[in-house]
Amino acid sequence: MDDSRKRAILLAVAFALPLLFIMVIFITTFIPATRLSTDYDFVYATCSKNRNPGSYYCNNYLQNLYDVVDGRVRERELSADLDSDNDGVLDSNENYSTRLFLHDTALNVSEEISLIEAQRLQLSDEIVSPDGVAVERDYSSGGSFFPFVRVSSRFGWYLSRGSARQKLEIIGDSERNYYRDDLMFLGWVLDEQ
Amino acid sequence: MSNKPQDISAQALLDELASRIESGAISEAEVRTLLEQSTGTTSTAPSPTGPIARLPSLSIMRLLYVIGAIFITLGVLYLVSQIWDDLGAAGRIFITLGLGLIFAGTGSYFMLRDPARGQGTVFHGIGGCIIPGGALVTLDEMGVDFDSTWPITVTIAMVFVFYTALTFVHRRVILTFWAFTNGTVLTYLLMNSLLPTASGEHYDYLTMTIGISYLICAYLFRSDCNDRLSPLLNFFGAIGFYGAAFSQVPDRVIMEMLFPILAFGGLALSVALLHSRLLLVISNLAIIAYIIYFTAEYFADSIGWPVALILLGFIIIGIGYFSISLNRKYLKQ
Repeated sequence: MDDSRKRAILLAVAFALPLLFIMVIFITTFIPATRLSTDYDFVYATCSKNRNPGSYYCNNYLQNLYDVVDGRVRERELSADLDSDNDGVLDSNENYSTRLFLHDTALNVSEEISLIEAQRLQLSDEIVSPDGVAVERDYSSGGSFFPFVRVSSRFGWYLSRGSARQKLEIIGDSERNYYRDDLMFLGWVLDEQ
Repeated sequence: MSNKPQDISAQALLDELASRIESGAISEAEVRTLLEQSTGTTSTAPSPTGPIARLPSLSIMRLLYVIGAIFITLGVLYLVSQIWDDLGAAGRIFITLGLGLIFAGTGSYFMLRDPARGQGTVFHGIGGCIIPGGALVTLDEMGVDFDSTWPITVTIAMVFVFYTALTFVHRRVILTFWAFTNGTVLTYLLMNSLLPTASGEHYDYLTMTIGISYLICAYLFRSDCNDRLSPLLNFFGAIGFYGAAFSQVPDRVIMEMLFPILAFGGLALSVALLHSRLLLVISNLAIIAYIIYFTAEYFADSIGWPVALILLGFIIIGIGYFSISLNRKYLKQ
């Protein structure tokens, strides 16, 4: 093989290497992600303060307000002097607004439901569904090192099993940015009564 | 008898040679080899590619070109920032992408008309700074939805193709440089577009892969019109590769075990194949960084920091001595 041909092959290898790497990662992560599914839907609550989605510490209020007891969503009576986010303003004066949603995992869409409708659902409040899929929030600022700019940041809520991930289209996700404190996962729907 | 005709002929020959070197038809390495052969001093030492040996001769004229280019770029940016809000969409596109293309066109004109002079390089240097931003401004003004990075990826891919094509036409270092810059950005964007859920770890491995590609290209470019790009590619290739690999060391046992092999491999490669002092220095820094990490992780608690620091000091001095010996024996002319 003459030098120019060897050189051309090496140059092609140099250019193909990063593309090949991306393709390998794409195939090994994209295919498992497309196969990721669960037979279970789930219920979540969102909270906004002064009509401002993505509020810091809103989750504290949700944690105080809702819990799951014996598989049923329960809304607690909150004390009048409660200050969930410890900002010196009582919850009663914070203009909190909460909503409940049922997420259809097959269609990846959320539907708003009332508390009464939510209470009809039998829930498992574990983070992993009975068929082994979890709901996880993820935020990453991308590449951890290189002289070049960090090109990637991702945030949002995902269905996950092992390294496979599938983004969930959660209500208010585009406003949520990397804040996560306005959402609370309540549980997987086991049964409807 | 006057020897003037002979002088003119020699001058014409030298001008032609300068023109050919500038246009990339003949590389500096080839000329160096020819000189060595003609004087019969075939050096056993490999041709140096370290930063000191490879610094291009920066004439006053070239220096003025570079200073002028920097002034023009800063002036354009300042002017644009002042009138940005008053410009309409067409004006914004013209003053960014349009201006960039005008600079690139002028650069190509000079490269074709007068390859020996450096004006073409200067204009393409300025154009390369403006065109990618201009293309993105155009995209924004067209009202494209930026929910995903695909529009940006496609735009940068077009800029990459543009500079790759120009590289094939003119065969100049500045154009190869812009092709590499845009190609590298394109690779990261492609990863981001194809795999929005890719983790930082994925980007680290991609950076390592790009680092290897840079090193291969640095090796290949040593003897052609892009030879002045070799030190830059060696530097960024090695920094990218070792930096990304080292950021994986604390989290991955396999990388913790592999890293010293990679670092010593780089050392061997710098001496045996790439003949790069830069790679030698960066490999040494990688080894030192690993030794510091390893000591802190596994020995600092058992032997204590004072003793660990003394040992580290001796090891670093030893590595420095070893590195200088390698440099003297294999890389220094």
